[in-house]
Amino acid sequence: MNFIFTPPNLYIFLLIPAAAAAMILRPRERIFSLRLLIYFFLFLIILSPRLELSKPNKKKPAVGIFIDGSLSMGISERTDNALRTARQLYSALKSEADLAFYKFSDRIEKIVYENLNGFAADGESTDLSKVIRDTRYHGKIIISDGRYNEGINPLNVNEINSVPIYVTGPGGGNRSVDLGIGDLKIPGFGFRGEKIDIDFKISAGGSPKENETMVYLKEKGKLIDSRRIEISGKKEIPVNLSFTPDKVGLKNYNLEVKALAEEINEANNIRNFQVNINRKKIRILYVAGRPSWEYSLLRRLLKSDWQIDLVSFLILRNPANRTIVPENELSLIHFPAREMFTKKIDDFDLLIYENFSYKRFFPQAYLSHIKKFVNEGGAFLMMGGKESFAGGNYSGTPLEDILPVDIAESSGWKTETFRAKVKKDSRHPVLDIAGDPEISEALWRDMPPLTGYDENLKAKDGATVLLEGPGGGRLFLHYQNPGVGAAQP
Amino acid sequence: MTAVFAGSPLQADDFSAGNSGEKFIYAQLKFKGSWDPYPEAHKLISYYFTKTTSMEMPSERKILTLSDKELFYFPFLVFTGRGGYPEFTEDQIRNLRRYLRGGGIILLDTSGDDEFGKSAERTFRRAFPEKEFKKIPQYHAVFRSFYLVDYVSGRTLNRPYLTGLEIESKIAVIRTDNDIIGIWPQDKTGNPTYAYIPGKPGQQKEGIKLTLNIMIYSLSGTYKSDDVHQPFIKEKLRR
Repeated sequence: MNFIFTPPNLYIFLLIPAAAAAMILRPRERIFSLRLLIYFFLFLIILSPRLELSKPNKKKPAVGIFIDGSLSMGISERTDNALRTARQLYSALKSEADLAFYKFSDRIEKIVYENLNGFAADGESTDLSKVIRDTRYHGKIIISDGRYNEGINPLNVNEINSVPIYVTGPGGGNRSVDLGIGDLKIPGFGFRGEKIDIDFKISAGGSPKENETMVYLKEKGKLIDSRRIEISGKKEIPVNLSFTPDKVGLKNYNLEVKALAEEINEANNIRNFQVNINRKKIRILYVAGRPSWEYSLLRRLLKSDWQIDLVSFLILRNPANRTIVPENELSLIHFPAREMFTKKIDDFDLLIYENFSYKRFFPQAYLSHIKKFVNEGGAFLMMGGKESFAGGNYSGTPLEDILPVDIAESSGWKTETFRAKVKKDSRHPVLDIAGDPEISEALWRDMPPLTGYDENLKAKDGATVLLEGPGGGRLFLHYQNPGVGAAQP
Repeated sequence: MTAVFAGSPLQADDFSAGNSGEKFIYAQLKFKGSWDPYPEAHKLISYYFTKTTSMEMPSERKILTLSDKELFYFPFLVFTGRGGYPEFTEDQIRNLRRYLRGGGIILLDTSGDDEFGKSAERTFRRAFPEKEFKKIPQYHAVFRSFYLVDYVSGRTLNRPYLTGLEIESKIAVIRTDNDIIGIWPQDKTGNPTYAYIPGKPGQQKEGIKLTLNIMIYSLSGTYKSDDVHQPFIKEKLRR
């Protein structure tokens, strides 16, 4: 408690009795006394003295004692020594400070002093920076072997100087050989086809006899990158590994430092992590059996979208066509069917066949790859024409298995001018060309007429018909999801 | 997911109904003036086109005016002539503008005729006052859409390059001043009806190649500029 005399408190305190005393004097002495009083009053105003009375604060400082509970403390007698230190600190400080005990590893948890006997060093990693950031106390004592392998360098934490920190080691045991992975920097996501860098540090404790070791990066046990690391004379070795994912999805990876022969703790040699691989662009493979206005306009539309990566092959000449010039004056290339439909098909998200008959270019067996591609999540669009469906000999092939139509053995092509109609109560994003169902339906009604269809095509059970043709029974735009369920109500 | 689009605008065999169907139709623009210097050229063009490419071109052509509603069913149009011609009406200019903006492509062959060339320039200036014809570079897809074209040929060699009007990010009007249609007419013995000037070796062959290239370009766009083709094209050009 502080009680402070300050002007005008002091002045009033002095002035009133002084003025009262002066009044009882004789006039001549009174004037002199009052003059003296005024001079004294001015003196006080100029110097403004203060009188401070205070009582001492009896509250104890709060001190946090943080004991390292990571796996490395389980080596030798480190934990026993640490707990012995903690008990000694308790005995020495309990009367002077409010003590709180914590176990820390990758997280901090409060523990009760009386339960110290049950302390187990089982934390997966050591994050000293978390402890440094905790500023609830007037001081902190950290008992640790100092082998941090998560979070930033504790010396670089902003709060390093906010409260006094005392660090003591657990002592005991010899300097054991131990390699560990720490400071792992991984992106939360990546893009298919683009390189992803993994940066981390290998900490090397003790004095290993071996000069080097290997680091491996694996996905589901499959090695995707590795590096030989020199460890001789080094305490911390920065490492960079990288890989280029070829599939989208949430992927699991693991890093492993090959354990040394004399290493006493291999648990920190392995780190697992996940990266979400996204597609940066939608990759489309568009194969057209001949040039057409559909190809021309659809290609232009797809090429104009920066989110689409289009690879297209257009059959400009058939084997039966003549050539009037030497081969080297033709700009035509060999259609790489084998490469596209066996090796590279998984690079794509959507495969389009327009008026394309496979028979002239590759064996039916390649169609199984397309079926597998669709069953594993790929999309396939077959656009009508003389050489699609039955005309393209797709009846009874693996493609018919994934298409939403039954393909007759022969084409039932009919030339008839008509306008396709949206099937009643159909709802699908493909039909929503205007952002409003009624406007979209009106636009579909006003589309240019079509001039033919295959009347032998029938929708399969489970397929959804979106547009209809003449008589309501002709199928024009329909889809199914082969991998989701064979039959849908 | 799999989807089918089982109807097709591609299957009309009767193009006179106003639809080009699966065949590539040689459509030619008729106007008030001398619009048809080579009335039979399209027959040989269609023969070569059908024999050498995977497309069919009927031997009959479609004659259209800028007032015809059917105009929009024929995305490729040949515009050639001799001498000047009366201005098109506003409605016709409006149709021309819609045609080109909607994806149509015009082969403008002035044959080096100044009067016709100036009239044509006026027409396109009215339709697109903000645009002008620019030289088409030698690496453009039109020079490699089917054949590798050595030089811009025709019955004459008035100008060694093509010029084009770019609309909606594509060359929608391809202009040649070399009378490219003029190389096609032949007499009964198979010889060119009209003399080639100057008669350079390979002049006819290069003219044939360029004609077919322009037609294939109208259907395939910049297909031959795709990365997958470049190593092969570069190798052939190197040879």
